[in-house]
Order: sequence, then C-alpha cells, then structure tokens
Amino acid sequence: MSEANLAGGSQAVSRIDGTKIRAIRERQELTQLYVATVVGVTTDTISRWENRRYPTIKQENALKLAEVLKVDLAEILDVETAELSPADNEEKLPPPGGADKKDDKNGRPVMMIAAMVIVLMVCAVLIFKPSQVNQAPPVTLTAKRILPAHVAPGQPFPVIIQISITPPGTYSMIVRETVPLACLVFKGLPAFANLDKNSGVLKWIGRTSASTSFAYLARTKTTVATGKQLLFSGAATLKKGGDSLRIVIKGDNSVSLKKLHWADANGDYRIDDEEILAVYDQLEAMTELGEEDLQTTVENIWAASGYGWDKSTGNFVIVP
Amino acid sequence: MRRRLSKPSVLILLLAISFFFGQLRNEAWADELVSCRYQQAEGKRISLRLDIGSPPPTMLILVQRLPKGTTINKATPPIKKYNPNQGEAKWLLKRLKSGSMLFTIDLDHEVTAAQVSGEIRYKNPAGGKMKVIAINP
Repeated sequence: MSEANLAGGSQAVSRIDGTKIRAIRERQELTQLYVATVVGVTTDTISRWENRRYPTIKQENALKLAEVLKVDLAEILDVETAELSPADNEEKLPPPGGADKKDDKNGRPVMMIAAMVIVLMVCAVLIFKPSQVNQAPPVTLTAKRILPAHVAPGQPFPVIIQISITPPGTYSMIVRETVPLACLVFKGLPAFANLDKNSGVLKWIGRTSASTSFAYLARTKTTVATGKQLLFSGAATLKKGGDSLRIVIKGDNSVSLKKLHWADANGDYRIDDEEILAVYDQLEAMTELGEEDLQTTVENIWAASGYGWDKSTGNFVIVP
Repeated sequence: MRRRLSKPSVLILLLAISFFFGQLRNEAWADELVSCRYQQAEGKRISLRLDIGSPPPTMLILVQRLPKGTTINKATPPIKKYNPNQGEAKWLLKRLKSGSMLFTIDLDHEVTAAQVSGEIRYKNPAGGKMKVIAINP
C-alpha cells in the first residue's frame, strides 16, 4: 500500500491501479455510472482512474471505491510504483441529469480546442484592448459663422455661429466673438457670459454635449457711411479633462454697409421665395431672441412686391 | 432540358429580389419627403392635400396658379401672398410637422383642371438644397 500526505496539502492520497479497478468493475458487471454515483464523482473521473490518467486519488475516495467494488483497499492500490504524484485531480459529482457518458478519447480534443479558444481570446484582448484605449476617436470641432452679405445702416441683423463637435460628449466650451466697433450688439442666444461694448468682444461660456448654435443680434451705428466693409472674427475653445482644442470661427467674416435688407441677397429690393427659404434659420433665431417683428418684416417684404429705403426715417418701406 | 432550382437557390433569389425592390421603394420615399396632390381641381373650389414626411423641412412655400384675374373669395388656411394679375397664390408654411395638411381655395368663378397648377418649394433638410416639385391635376 502506498500512501502519503502531499506537501502543503492536508488530505491523504492513495496511488491506485486503474487496470485492476477496471477489471474488477467489469467482472462484477458494474457500470462506471454506478461506481461514480456511489463514490460521489463523475463517470469521467472513474474513466480517468481506470485509464491511469489520475493515478493518485484521495484516500477517502479510494476506500469508497474499494467498498463499492467489494474488495480490500490493498487490491486496488498500485504497489509497484514508488513515487507519488502531488496531483489529485478528482472532480465533483455533476448535477442530476447531467450527461456523463463521455468517452475520454472524445473529451480530450474538446478540451484542447477549448484551451486554444481561450488562449486566442486572451491574445485578442491583449492585442486589441490597449490599441482601442489608445485610439479613442479624436475630437473634431468646427465653427462656422453665418452673416448676411450686406446690412443697412441702423438696421438689426442676425449672426449665427454654428458649432459642430464629434464625438458627442460633455465638453466645456468658450466662444469668443469680436464684432466691429461700428456695430452694436444687443441680444444673444444663449445669453452672453460677457459683453464688452467698448472692445466689441462678446463671450459665451458653458457646457455642451454636441453640435450647437450661438446667435446674436447686432445693428450698425447710423453714423457709419454706406459702402464700408465690417469685419468679424472669433474663436471657439473646447475643453475636456485636461485637453483643450481651439479653432478660429470660419464661414462669413464680413458685411458691407448698403441700403438693402439683409435678407435680400441679390439686392433687387425684393425678397423672393429662395431668399426667404435660405434665411429661415436666421428668422427663427430672431424669433427665439424675442424679435418676432423682425421676422414679420421679412415675411411682409416677401409677401409684397418689394421694398425701398426711406432716407428721412432711415428705415425700410414696404411697397405693396 | 429544364433544370429545377434548388430550395436554397430559390430562397436566395427571393431575398435578392425583395432587397432590390426594397431599395427602389426607399429611393422613392427619399424623393417624396414632401408631396402634394389635387383632391379637387375644377369648379369654384380647389383643394389640395400636402403630405410631409420625416424629417420635415423647416419652411415650405405652396404655390397655386390660377387663371389671371381670378378673385379668391376664401382660402383655408389663409394665403400669405396673392397677386391677381399674375394669378399666383402662395402659402408660407413654418415649423412644419410630419403628416398631412389640407388646403382649399374658393373662387369667384369656375375653373377647369387645365387652368390650374401648383408647385411646392422648400429647402431640403439634408443638405439645404432648394427643392421644387410641380403639382398637376
């Protein structure tokens, strides 16, 4: 009888002779399932014991095995092998109803395939995960200003700054716009964080999650001569975490001072269908800024045959 | 010699055909974001039905052409612009929603279907291009 306590282990193990066990079981016409059930292990385990793949087993199981085979423990022990293996590869009893008639020869390739799949998955994670983390999509920011081509002296006109951000997320944003000193800014949507009328610098500060628009209404000073070109400039800064991205606002950057309505793009003293459809966004911005009258004026000029400029009042006159 | 197609081949063929027609249908819908047709195009009353898909255009102009000199007694909804000398009436529609709208015009005299025509003009929400669609009885 060969018996030993494994270093670091607490259970006694016995070295069994699988060939003998199989012979005794078959002689008694006992099935692997029956033996496995009584001992409290799986049929796979019994198969492995018999095929000498697990030559050492818990002594407790060895005793149970001897009991079910109705032989002395010594009869099933391997007395020829001197060295002990520290392995005790016993399995727990599977849940009732579990398939337990697997052939050991079939189980081996399945396990090998499973092992290979696990190895491949681990490799895939190691290869792709770090690169995905490092290759977070870059944040892109674009800013475009929409200005009329011309504005009339003293008449209000809308300016829209369209901001586009990808990917969507939570960003801190600062939009800084410098309007010409010949202009007076009087309303912003959203409200300005700061408006310095002396320098003509206005700012919006806030949080945004995606593309957004900033709008304001301005009017030129009546003292400014017609024909003058007025220049606008600005920048948008986006911050997320410690990173920041600053870009110049592109799009329209100048308006010329003419005695024409800002929505009359071709300067024919009419606002036609194409022109009114083209300025819809600006008209909506005016309404949101609480300037419905300005939108109504545009619609009334469109509905009429045209408009003119009244020098005495410095205002537009609708021609029915 | 006749060869019978196997079941998988027939299935694949059917799938391909349904995909093809599905694409055609999608294309057709893409072109018909907004459509309009006459429900009545002659007599003293003209009525039109406007169908708006999704996403709706932000603003739309519906044009109705009538014989020159025609007087409009009543229009529902009210017309925004009408020039009797040109016989051109226009509705300006804002903040549109997907769905259907009905338009009627009551005239001072009877007209024939050949005398009326219409047009819808809007800025395509995808790309902002101006779109003009003719309406004929």
